[in-house]
Amino acid sequence: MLETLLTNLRRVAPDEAEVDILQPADPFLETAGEDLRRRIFITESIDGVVHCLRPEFTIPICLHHVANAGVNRSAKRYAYGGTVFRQARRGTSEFLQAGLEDLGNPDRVEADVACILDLDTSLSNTGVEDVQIALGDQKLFAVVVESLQLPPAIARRLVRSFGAPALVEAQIERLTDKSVKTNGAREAEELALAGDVVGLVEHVAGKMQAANLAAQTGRSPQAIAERMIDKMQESQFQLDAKSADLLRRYLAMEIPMVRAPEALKGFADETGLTFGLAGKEFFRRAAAMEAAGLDLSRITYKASLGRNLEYYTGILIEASIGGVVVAGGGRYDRLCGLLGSRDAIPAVGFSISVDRLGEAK
Amino acid sequence: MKLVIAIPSKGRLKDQTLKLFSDAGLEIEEGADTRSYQTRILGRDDVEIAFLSASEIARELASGTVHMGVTGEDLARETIHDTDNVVEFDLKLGFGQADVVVAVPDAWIDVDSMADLDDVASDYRARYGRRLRIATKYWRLTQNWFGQHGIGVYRIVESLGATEGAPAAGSADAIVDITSTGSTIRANNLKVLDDGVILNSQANLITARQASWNEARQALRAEILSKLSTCC
Repeated sequence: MLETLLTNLRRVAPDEAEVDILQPADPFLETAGEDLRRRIFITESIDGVVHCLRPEFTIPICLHHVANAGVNRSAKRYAYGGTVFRQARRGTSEFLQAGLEDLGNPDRVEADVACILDLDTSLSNTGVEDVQIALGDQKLFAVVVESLQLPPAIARRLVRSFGAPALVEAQIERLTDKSVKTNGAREAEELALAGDVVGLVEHVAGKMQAANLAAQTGRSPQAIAERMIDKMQESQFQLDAKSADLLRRYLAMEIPMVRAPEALKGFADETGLTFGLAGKEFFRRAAAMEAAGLDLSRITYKASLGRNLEYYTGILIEASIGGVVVAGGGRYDRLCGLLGSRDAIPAVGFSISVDRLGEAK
Repeated sequence: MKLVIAIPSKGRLKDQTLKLFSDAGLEIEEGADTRSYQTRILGRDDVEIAFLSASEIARELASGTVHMGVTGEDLARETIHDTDNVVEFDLKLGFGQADVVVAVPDAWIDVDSMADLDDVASDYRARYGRRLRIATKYWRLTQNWFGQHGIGVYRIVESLGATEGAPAAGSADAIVDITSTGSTIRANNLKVLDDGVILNSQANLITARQASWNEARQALRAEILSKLSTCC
């Protein structure tokens, strides 16, 4: 199965990047966060460098691309396949993965559609039937949030939680709560309410000095004061029922792709919001998907589908067979930046769980 | 075959454990040789007492090489994966109280809750070129707690002593540490977050589910539990 997938993938993604089994752990922990540590295998070399067993291919391939793309920032399509290692509650910790990374293509719609098409073709070439694809869109959610004109910090937090429905709902709940939120630091609160940045900065600087905290190595008095003022404004903010309803209704949308553009337009008309550029991109992508010959009856637009990782920036793809997710992917334009690239590198890709695909077959 | 109970080998935890057992009519023989790591309960030869360090006790409970042990809930939860399926917390002993808490610099007037910390962590790298760093020796408790609050983007800096000094030393931004009265935290110009108490810990009598149990040992366990429970 892995060989079939790889042969197919290499045909559409001819570039190669060698990915060692033993990887430096830092890039994974820096991007996916400390939380990942519980789910991967960490080991330390004799000189104290922390390594891990390859938990996935995307980050190593992006690292390779950032290091080698060099002067001629040409777009590349990498195919990969092999064993990845993850902590599992029971059973094996070795899993087979195959997939594709499309890095550096500035035409995002083209790259997105190629990615969805290649995923669908790869899966069906292994002989499986009834592949269902769900698509999410991080940008559209960001637009919906933006349309509500929330205090910036609240908006950022909502967008950041996109993809974790429980976290999003908890926030909506908290924002509609009428009870007064206060933190008891009276002097600071009064300064913040008065918008007295200078006084607040002094207040914080005094506390930092008393604690021997160096302002150069972390949060500065200025940053703390500014966030305090934001927070006081937020604490007086309450999300109205109409906005909460709009958010919830948007996130509940799950529509066949053929009807998605029309449904989104209807939602926009009814609620008075404009999807703007993100909407245009969505409509262009939907048209391009149809033109590329994708079977839209097997594709669903699922508004709540996302990943609450900061580097995801666009579409989210999930392929399933009989309710079992066998592949996932999406657009992560911020990943290469996190990995040290000075230029933004558009990135989209997917990963197939070969084991689950085998079971589904 | 005897029932093996591990108890702390030094400090206040040891003294208080010895006193508790003694109050319950289970006098632990310390013997002439104070360096001995093994002893028994006076007048009984069905129970073996093993003196171990509190963290060793947690490890031995995890592997089931002792039947029961006295140690802090914090150490048990930190050391033993899938804690509640591996051990049973039989009895809170009423001493060794300490809380495992998340604390941030007092100067962070805008941070009072885990949600605030999440906000701060989320753009830390964009602002300061690195992730928010948490100093702690409680890896597992920290990862679980932060995970529960949806915080993933931070780094743990291992700290094996004087954790509360890490922010002033510049080696971390905030800490997860143990505190009994909060005075060390305050003395270091730190504050505990409103919802930052990860665990109210104290010394517990703990049973290792995976130790070799038979009817006789189960009966012994029940007897010891009933005697101790009248005293704490």
